[in-house]
Amino acid sequence: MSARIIKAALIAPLLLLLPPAAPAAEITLNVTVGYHGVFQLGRPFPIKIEVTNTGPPVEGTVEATVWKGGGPKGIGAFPVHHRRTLLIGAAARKSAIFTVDPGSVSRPLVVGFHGPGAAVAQEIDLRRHFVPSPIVLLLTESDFSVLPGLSTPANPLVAIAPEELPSDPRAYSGVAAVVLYEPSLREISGAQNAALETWLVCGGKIVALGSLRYALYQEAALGRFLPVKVSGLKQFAALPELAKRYGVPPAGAVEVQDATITDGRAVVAEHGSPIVVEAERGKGKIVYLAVDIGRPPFSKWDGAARLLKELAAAPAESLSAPAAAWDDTVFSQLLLNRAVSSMYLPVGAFAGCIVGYLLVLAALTWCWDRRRLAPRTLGIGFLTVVFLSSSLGYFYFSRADGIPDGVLVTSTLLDALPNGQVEASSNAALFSTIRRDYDVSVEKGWTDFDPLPRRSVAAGENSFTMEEEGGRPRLRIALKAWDYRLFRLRSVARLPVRVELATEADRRVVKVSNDSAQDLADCWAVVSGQILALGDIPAGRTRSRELPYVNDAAAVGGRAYRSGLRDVHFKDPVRELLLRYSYFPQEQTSAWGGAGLFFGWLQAAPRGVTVADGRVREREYAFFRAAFPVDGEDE
Amino acid sequence: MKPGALFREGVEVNIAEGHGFAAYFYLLVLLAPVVFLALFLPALDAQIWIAPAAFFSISTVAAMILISYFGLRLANQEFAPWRFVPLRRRLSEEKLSPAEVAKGHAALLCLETAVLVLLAAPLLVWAGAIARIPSRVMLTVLMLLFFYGLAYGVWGLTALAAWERKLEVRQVFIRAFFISVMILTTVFYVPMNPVGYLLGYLGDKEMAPLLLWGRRWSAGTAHFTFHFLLFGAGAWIYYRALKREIGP
Repeated sequence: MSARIIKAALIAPLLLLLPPAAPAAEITLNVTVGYHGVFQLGRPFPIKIEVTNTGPPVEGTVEATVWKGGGPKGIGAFPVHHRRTLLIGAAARKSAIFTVDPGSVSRPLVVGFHGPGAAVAQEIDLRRHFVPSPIVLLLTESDFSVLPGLSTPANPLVAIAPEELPSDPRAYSGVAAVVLYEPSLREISGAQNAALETWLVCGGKIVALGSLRYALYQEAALGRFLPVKVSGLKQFAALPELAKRYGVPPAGAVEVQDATITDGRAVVAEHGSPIVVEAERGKGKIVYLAVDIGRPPFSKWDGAARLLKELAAAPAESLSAPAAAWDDTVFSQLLLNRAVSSMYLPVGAFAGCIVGYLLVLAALTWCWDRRRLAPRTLGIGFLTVVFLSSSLGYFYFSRADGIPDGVLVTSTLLDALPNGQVEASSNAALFSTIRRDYDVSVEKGWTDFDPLPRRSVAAGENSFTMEEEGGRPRLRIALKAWDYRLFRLRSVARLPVRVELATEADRRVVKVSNDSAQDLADCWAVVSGQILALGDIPAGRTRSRELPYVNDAAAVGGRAYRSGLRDVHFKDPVRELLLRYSYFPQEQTSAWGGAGLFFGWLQAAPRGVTVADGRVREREYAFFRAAFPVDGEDE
Repeated sequence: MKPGALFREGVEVNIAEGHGFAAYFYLLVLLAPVVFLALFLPALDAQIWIAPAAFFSISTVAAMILISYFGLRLANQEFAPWRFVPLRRRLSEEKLSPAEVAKGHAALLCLETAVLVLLAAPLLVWAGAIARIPSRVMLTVLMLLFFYGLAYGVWGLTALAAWERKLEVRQVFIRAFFISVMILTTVFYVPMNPVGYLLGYLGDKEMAPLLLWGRRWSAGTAHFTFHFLLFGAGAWIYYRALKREIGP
């Protein structure tokens, strides 16, 4: 008994010396949905998760989960996870911003933080945050936050600071326009800049409202977005052009920004000075207003509401060419095509091995038949052949450079826009020969990255994880052996290729000027059902071809185009397959009636996704397409 | 007559004289195109593309059917039957015991099945390498093929012992037996069928358990129990038929 007491007395102080159990991190989450709690229904929107740690440092994963599919979409509901790893110091806070795109707002958004000793999760009801129309973002550093006539309950105006600008262009999907008033863009990151620019060229709208603090507008960060060069202020006794359109401005002399147009056109000008300037940027638009609408006398002007409403109105939906078909049917045909299947199936080598094996066995049998081999030698020879052929064949077919883990096929359709721009729709497919995870990264300048769910698989297999760092989403996807996933994304890029059709009395001349830096190969034109092979058009060259004039009303319709396209042939069977089933599918026949059509292949294809993995083989196709008016036919 | 005379006789007739080469030839001639064409085989539904995914499975199933079938025919002494000494003479004149005859026949069946599996092995190994099948699975498949060859082949010996002098009866019996087992097992419980089991195993699919006599039998247990019983039943009937040849 006494010995026990002595032992306990010795051990007790030692126990006191042991370090105490590490206190658990205390994590709280603060979530901001959309732009200050508002987003447009049915469009991707940003969420900001601020993680506050009041305990010791902790490293963990912030995760947001939304559900897509389900119900009327004919695809079982599946989760989409957005993740980011954060290291949060003691008594510190950090935030993660994701762009989420839930299939519906009836399911809550689930956010959480998981780390050693810390696990927090909360559900957010999205139904309290959506509006039916796109929102208008006001980017300002002044206290000016109300633009008369712009903000309505259905179409709210949200004032944000420059650092709140999203780093992912997809987050702008539910934004009608970004209004700039006395902003400083010096502090915004490269990713934020790139996202704003990508959204703009892909169809966004920026409205730059001038200010008496003109120096802000001379900053390079802001100046690169403006269609004018601001040099100072200019005084006007009256603004008759503006008065004619929007009502008489306040009496007396007014000061407006003095600017010269760098690109675009003046919509309203006073005595040679531009007041309202519009410029196209890809599919998007920039509008500049020289007057300071936030300060007197214009802040009290009755015409301000009408003017602002007009300036910030969402750009009219431009008529887009039909999108390329990209689904399981198209991709199945691609996979079955020899040109693609030879990328991952060593068909020739396999056939050679089979024939070789049969020949060796035949030779053994022949030797035995000619009594050149004793039964024992025949047995040994047979075993040797089986062993050697099995093992050598196994090593040959499973060697590192033999069959790749995956194949990435990218098919990019470039539809010509005015001003030498093209709208690039990239369709990609990642096909795996083994069960493994892949990281798919989105290239800079591309947006609307969308992994397409498959109807033929279980709903859970459509699930994926998006890891977002610096505004460039990276998709982590698990594929089974011999399985694939399809993706879509888009961009607007510069590719100045001009196509003109000159109509004369008895002939037509198709003239194509390739002013881009890329060669066009295998070019064709279809005019009123007539096809014309134009061959290759190298960069910087112009090619003209004549075709006889056919005044046949029946040749104008879509059927004639279909028959015209049927006569187009390429050496590469994959190109032919893409042309017929993806770029000009049967169901889009009527869309092409009444216009001339020019198309060709780009040698170096721009692409939106990459898989940084040496075990993945890549094949890219880029197809340029331009529709042009044909005299006497409806465009 | 030394023990193993039947084995040596079988080796002599089937291999040394080459009468069994017909079976090997048929196996290779049928299997090689199936394996090669399986690479391009489109799915029934254009939207569900399966070709290389099912490449190894199709090859394995074809090999299983061919090995089991030709194993049965070789055991049944369908190739050059006149070259084999009748069992009755072995048992009554040469005074071999049924156990000695059975031992010889079993050794010959093992050898013939092994040769058939070895002949198919390179094609299956290459198919497995292309389809990215782990080598462990390939080895398991080769062993399963040998197992099926024995389980079905023993019924060739049964037919031989039961109707030695009625070649046509034997031929009809083993074909009817093989087809019946394939159909009935599929109707009763798919994983009991070797084709169903192989497809389930290679497809990494969860096979539904068998509910029988109020108990749940896992697919693997049901499959192997059935095949062991099939083998055991065949061996027992074969041995009884040999004993009957000696008479009371």
